[in-house]
Amino acid sequence: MELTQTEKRNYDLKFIGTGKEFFSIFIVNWLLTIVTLGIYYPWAKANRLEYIYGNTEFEKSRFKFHGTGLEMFKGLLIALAGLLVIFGMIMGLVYLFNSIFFVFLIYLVIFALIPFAIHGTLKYRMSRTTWRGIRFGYRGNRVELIQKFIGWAFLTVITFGIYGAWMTIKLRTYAVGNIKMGNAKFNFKGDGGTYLGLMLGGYLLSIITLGIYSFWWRRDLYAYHLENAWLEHDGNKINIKYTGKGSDFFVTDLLNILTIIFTLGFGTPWAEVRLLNLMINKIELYGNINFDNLEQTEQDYKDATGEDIGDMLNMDFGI
Amino acid sequence: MIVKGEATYFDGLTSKATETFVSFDSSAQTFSILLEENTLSWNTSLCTIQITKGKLEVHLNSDTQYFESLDPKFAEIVTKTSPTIKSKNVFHRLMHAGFKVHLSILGFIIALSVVMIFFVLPYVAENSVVLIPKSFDDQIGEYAYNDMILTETIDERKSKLVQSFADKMELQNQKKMRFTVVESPIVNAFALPNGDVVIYTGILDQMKDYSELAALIGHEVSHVTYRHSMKALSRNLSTYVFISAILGDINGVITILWQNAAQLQTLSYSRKLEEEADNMGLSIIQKNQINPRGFVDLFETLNTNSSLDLPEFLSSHPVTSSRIKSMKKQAKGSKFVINKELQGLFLQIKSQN
Ligand SMILES: [Zn+2]
Repeated sequence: MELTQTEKRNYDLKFIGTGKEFFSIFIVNWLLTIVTLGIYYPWAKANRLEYIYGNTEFEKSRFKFHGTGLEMFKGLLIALAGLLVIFGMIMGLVYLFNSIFFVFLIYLVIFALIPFAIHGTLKYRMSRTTWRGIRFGYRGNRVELIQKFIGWAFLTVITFGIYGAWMTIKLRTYAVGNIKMGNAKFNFKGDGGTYLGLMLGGYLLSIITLGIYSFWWRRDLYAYHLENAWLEHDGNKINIKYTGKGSDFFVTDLLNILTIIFTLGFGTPWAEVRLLNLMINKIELYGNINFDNLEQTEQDYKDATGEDIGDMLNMDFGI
Repeated sequence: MIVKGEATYFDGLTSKATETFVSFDSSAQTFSILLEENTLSWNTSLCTIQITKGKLEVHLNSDTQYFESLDPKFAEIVTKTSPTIKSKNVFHRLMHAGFKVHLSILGFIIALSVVMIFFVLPYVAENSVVLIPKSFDDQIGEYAYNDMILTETIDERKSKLVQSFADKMELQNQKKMRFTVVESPIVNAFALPNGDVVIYTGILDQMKDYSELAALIGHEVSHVTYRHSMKALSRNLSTYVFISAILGDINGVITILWQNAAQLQTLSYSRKLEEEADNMGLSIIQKNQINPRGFVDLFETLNTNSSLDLPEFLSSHPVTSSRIKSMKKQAKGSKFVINKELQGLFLQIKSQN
């Protein structure tokens, strides 16, 4: 297939889920979670992800999440067993040397688990997601990411957090840069200095305006992450533009808070759908990639351990 | 029956969409996908069939091949005759039940939770306190005492005097009572489950007669004897755990809303405990032949100032006028004598050195 489309055009991306449907998912998941005393949690998560992916349409074709509750449940058991062994060993050291100094190791372990969880989540989520039957994939290397992560974290600590902006950008560059959509490849190129400016400026303006600017700040950060990423395939590209405004974030949050309060919390699915609409439907894609030409290149990967550790650390990747 | 419909097929090797026709044989439960070079035949048992927003998707299990169809007639026949859709799992079956059923499920869970929170759990929690060893009361009380006393100034002289005052009374106590007077303008006192009673100088300063101090002591001792702290703790804890377990991961905001709603139950409960302590306190006063008017006076002081209560971290509420009224009624006609010993001690407590 040598067809290369060169004329640039806009691509269609939209979220078509509804609050009512999402509410049904929420209620059925909830019921099953209660009845099974919580064991259903990984299945509930799979149901939710399947709905969100399945209701996101790109170029008239929907994404599909192939992950299952059973995979995530197995991952959870492995993650729990692993953590139990590690914490058991640390408690053993505490007991053996009768010194609580070793409790400090727990923080170190939790910290070291972050890159582990990022790697695992990306690898699992990407490989279990398809579009027109073509798998996404994450080609990052676990050891490499952990090494880099420790280095960045060290620099962040000795610069009293200032390097954190560069760390975020480098982490994003590494993670996004290793994501594939078949033989198309994602990229990210950002600048730590610009990002630091964005963080500090947003922070200061938010304080000065008593928090009102925080909506515009959030919009800027989200747009920064999106607009510095692009997809490339066969020498062609798609660029991303985010057209949502700070005022959209403000209105969405306000409506969501009211929805949640006046429904005693049970209107949350509608609130979540409203947020997804804001996050997804205001993305503009422009470029010249021919989406009939993607090839299946990525492997299946069913180990959800990293994903589950991410859950335990309360990390949310928003993908 | 055999139906035929327009479909788009994806081969799982490239993202190329192939417009084609698929026929479905409902008796053999087989899809036939017409391609240029061959015809694919998929049995429904090998497929995952789903229909969302008018689009039928048929995915070959553990594979990336699939086809989709927007043909409503085709989709209708497939969904109606294919048993795989219905026999899927509990989740899908419940999802198919429809929005009204889901609303009813929500109503049912809420109703059940309300019954649990307001009726079942309080009863179970209160009665299961018997199962908690009494030594636990001591541990938790001692811990709370040591924690709070660190930042307070103890009035040793008054503490000793209040202790001997209480020792002169018949308290019907099961635990050894220890009294500590703390220098503070707060008009309050509280009892810990291990028998420690903390009285602030603020409340002592407001008292005019020894019968008021006797009433306060009677009230606080009753809290300890009835294990009120443990009962309140057990109720609060079980409600908290229940709500967290039910709402758990669903949503932080809902959990907070519900925890606050459950506080109402706690408030009415602490009112009940206060009444119980008042009643037993009154019977102690009467046994000691002290003027029960002390209770009424004590309440009136508290009413204008602050509250007489269980430790703040458990509950807090003002003395209600109904409490005063009922105490007035009960106190009527009680016999009492002047106890010179207690009166003397009380005067010493009131004196500045
Ligand atoms: Zn009380």
